[in-house]
Amino acid sequence: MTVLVVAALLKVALFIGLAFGVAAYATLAERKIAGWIQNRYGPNRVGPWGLLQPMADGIKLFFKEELLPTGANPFLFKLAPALVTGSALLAVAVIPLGDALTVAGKKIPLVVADMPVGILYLMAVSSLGVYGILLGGWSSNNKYSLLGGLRSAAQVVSYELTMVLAMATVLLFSGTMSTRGIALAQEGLWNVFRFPVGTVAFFLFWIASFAETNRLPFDLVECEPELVGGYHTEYSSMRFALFFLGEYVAMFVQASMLTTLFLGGHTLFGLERIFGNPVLNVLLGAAIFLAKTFFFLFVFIWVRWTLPRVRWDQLMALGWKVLLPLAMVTILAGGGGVIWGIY
Amino acid sequence: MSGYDQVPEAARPFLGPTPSGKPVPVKVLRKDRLDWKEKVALIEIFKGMGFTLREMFRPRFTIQFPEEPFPRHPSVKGRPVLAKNPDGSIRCVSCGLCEFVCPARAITIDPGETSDPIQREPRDFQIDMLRCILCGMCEEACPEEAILMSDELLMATDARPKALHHLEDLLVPVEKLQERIDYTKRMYRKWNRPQS
Repeated sequence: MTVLVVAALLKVALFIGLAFGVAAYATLAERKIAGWIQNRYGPNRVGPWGLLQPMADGIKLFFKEELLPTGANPFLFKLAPALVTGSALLAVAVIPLGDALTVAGKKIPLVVADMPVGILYLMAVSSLGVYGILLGGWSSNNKYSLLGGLRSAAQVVSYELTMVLAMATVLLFSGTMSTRGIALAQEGLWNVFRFPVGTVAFFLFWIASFAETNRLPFDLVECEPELVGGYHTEYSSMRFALFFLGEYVAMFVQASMLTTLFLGGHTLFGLERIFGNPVLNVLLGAAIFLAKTFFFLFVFIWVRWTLPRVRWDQLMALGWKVLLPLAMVTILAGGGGVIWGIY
Repeated sequence: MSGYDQVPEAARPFLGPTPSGKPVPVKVLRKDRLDWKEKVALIEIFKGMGFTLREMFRPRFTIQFPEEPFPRHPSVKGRPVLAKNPDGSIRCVSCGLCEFVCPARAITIDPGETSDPIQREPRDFQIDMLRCILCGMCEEACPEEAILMSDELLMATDARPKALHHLEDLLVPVEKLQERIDYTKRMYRKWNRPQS
């Protein structure tokens, strides 16, 4: 019992540290990669290669003044950033980082909460983040923020159905809703290679995850040229930083979900058990998982600095007229494939 | 090679007439309707992604300024300095022309004697960089090519006394200023009309 409690506490500390660390360095990576794409260096003054830049940013944001706009609803205004970051951090609980460690005769899987309804939980808490954005936009008493919030609502209804259907296709293949179970079920064949259903579902989920994290080309919620930052126009100091942090933690969660659902989590065609030592194998599995996740994070950033923003109605048209019908066909085909034993 | 040849070929229609005088026919490509490939946009998206990926590995344009030298043309008028001959003597003869011509009155000369009875030399030469406007009139007035505009641009200080440059701060070996001397000579030849 003690072992389990200590292990759970250690895992919570590890995962929160990992989420914050990845989020902090994703901001640096964002600026670095933006620089490289634009033939610049990116931040390189704070520490070697600018590696201490996130700390400098954090200190700066801590010491900024916290502003409260006139006419804003103080309670909701303060609640909104906490909701965004809080929901993103809650979703970290179901990331299956690696295989199970055996400590003192107990099997301890490298996931904070190995729930049988992990995917449902993930959808529930990651959708809560949208409420933070809506509330932030509405309570700021600023028309541009309100427009950002409205767009956020429009965006939710147009991509989330697609996302859930793509997830459901994976659930058909694996027969479980536990994220760890889904990762383990792909040891033989990754879902992305279950051609064509798994591949299509993968790309649908990928596109929807850009909308879920409010990243370009679907960042209508922020849209700095026309909405001056959208929902976080009126935010300053750490409240703004919480929105920012929430966005990057959500990116990490989405990237790791793509890895878990479609790219086999910590598995790599049996290569993850190459060492004789089980502890080393678990570490290798975690490294494989993080490598895949960082690839997706890189693509998030790469796409942001390549593609222009789509219009509001274009996103709706893409969501309702293209992605949703495709997702429906995909889940039907996947279901048929499972019934007739093709997959 | 004219400037025209250095412009990328794709941008040349925007330049107007060629050096030979013949105008370049400008062909405007106007497509009102997208074909199906462009409507799906996937191919265009991947093209764009490939482009940004290639750009990531191209050399950088940025010059890391304080560490990396910034290439400067001799026409740059930076901090005025005094030339020092290779034998160590000062070129300036304390004639006071620069002091007189300086519109900002930044220059103060303290003239002194040398062992040569017909030669003078400044005992101290002060330029107040808080007053100097880098106009270069001292350089134009100087009959000895002694005061010259260098290419040093970092003149900021954190204390007022440091902005007052004395003789020892201003002396620079003349070899370092040769490019500027050649440039000014070339320019004076160009501007000065023949006296008649």
